[in-house]
Amino acid sequence: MKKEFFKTVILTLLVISSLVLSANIWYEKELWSVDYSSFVYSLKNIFKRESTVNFSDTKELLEWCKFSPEFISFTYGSQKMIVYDASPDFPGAYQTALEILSSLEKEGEMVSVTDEEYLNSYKTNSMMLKFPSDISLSELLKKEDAFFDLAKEPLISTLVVGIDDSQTNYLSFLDVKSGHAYRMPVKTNAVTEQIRQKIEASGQNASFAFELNFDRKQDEAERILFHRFVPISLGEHSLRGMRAEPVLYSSQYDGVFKAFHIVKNSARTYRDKENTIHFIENRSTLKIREQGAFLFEATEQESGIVLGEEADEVIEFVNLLYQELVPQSDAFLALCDEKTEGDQTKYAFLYRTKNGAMYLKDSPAVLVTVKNGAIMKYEQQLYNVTLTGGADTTTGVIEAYDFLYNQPDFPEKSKLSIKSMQPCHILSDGQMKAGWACIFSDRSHTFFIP
Amino acid sequence: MKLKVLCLVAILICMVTMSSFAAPSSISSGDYGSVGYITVTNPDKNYSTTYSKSVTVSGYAASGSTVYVYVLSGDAYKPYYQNGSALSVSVGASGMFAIPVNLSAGKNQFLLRAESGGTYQNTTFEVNLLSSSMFSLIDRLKSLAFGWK
Repeated sequence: MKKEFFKTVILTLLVISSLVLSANIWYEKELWSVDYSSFVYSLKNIFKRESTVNFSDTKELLEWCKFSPEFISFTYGSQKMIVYDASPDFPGAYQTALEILSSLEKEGEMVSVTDEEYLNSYKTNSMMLKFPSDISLSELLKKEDAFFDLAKEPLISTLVVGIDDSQTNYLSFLDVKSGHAYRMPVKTNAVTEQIRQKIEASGQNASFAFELNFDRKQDEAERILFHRFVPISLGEHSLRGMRAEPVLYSSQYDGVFKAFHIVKNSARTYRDKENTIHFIENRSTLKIREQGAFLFEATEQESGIVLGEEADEVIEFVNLLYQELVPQSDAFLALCDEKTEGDQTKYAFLYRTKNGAMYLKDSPAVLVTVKNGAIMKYEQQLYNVTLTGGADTTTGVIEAYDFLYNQPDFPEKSKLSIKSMQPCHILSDGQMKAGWACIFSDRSHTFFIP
Repeated sequence: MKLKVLCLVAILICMVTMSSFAAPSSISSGDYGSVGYITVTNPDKNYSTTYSKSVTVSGYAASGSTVYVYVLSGDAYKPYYQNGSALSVSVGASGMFAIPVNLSAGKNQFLLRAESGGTYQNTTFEVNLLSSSMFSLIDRLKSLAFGWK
């Protein structure tokens, strides 16, 4: 009787454990750690972990990224100040900008103005916002609850809210679709006062390239000219402190397996000389590097991750995955380059926070190759990026520009113009440094520590 | 004894100030030096008017040179002092420079000197700062003109 009882208990235990193991495989959880053959038992491995990603949060973040300016300039009298997105003063300046935008009310119709009139709006008492990409003016104003009903739908990359000599408030912008500049009278409260307060606190004196004629060829020398709205800000620049820690291989990578449909338990696994762990499926591979990076590669179209042809879908996927992997990070991933070669498009991303961007010295933060609407290759340098209370400094624009002249590819670049010059953080050999990111007219970019 | 020490200190201060501004202490108005050493991009005209109390003087000069700012005083140009120091800037590899300069009411006659290794070029320009009262007068005239229409 006793013998029978023990047999039943053992059999029951075996049946239960077989069910547990089946459930484990079902939910694609790791049973044995790589290169380690002992059984790791954990409740976490049995029950599927709920995703921590809130889809609406990601949407909100991406919208913020689209409408948040690269820099804000305030002009009052003979003074102009530039607040870059990496500046410790940016949150305050952006708050002022949002207050001004949300107070706007339409007071007249949009009228076409000459280029000279348009440029003059940058010289009078005004606030100017420069966006990282072209955005819809209606969407921007609607987002800020400004009261507008626009007959036309202008696409803008800069917006000026100013006050002219006759004390009329206006919006001034260039519609990038038609190439025409427009001006529209608006009603607002205390723009001048808010701008004056900002300027007085800063003591800065900057200019746009067009005000100093650095956007036009002046002599026979070979030079890289500036786009007219690149700020030529003098003196050193302060950036809000930033820290980046690599995320090494751990259970935090579970989301990677899930996202790329790699079954950890059934995939063939080995570790190479460089300590990279390879997970090999029939038509795809996932490599996890020792320093906190991973690479997914699909060898056939069917094993690629199907998304769609739109860049927005790639941006969403990249950010959802990053939030799942490193939810505590202050950063998100912003698209910085897009190249189509034949039937595939490569998207490069950088880490961006609400207070500046971070470039990695040797590669983009994420590089995605999409072919016929499916991700065929995905490489990410995985970092937990946090903003700190400290500050870093970098040179002025002219010193950064001098640095470009000593680069070996200068003769090639001299045929281009500089579309954007932005202070940023650069992670080089594990060291975080303040430097500059420069985007040229052919959309190529470089970043450097002068 | 005290007087002697004070005199020595005064002489030292003068020497330090003079040595930090290596360019000549006075330039006659006809002296232009070599050609092709400096191009002024702003102001882009030899004569300009403004209501702004400062102007950013910018341009390109020979790489490695120093650009000094002078202002006409009597019949010669003298170093221009702003916040207690003579205005000058070292030019880097690109040749680009920009110097914010405060203006006095009325005519401001400037000379920029780019100098490197004994070679130099001087270039002159004038900025006329109009007073804000004149600005408001023009404004009033404008509104009157619109009123008459």
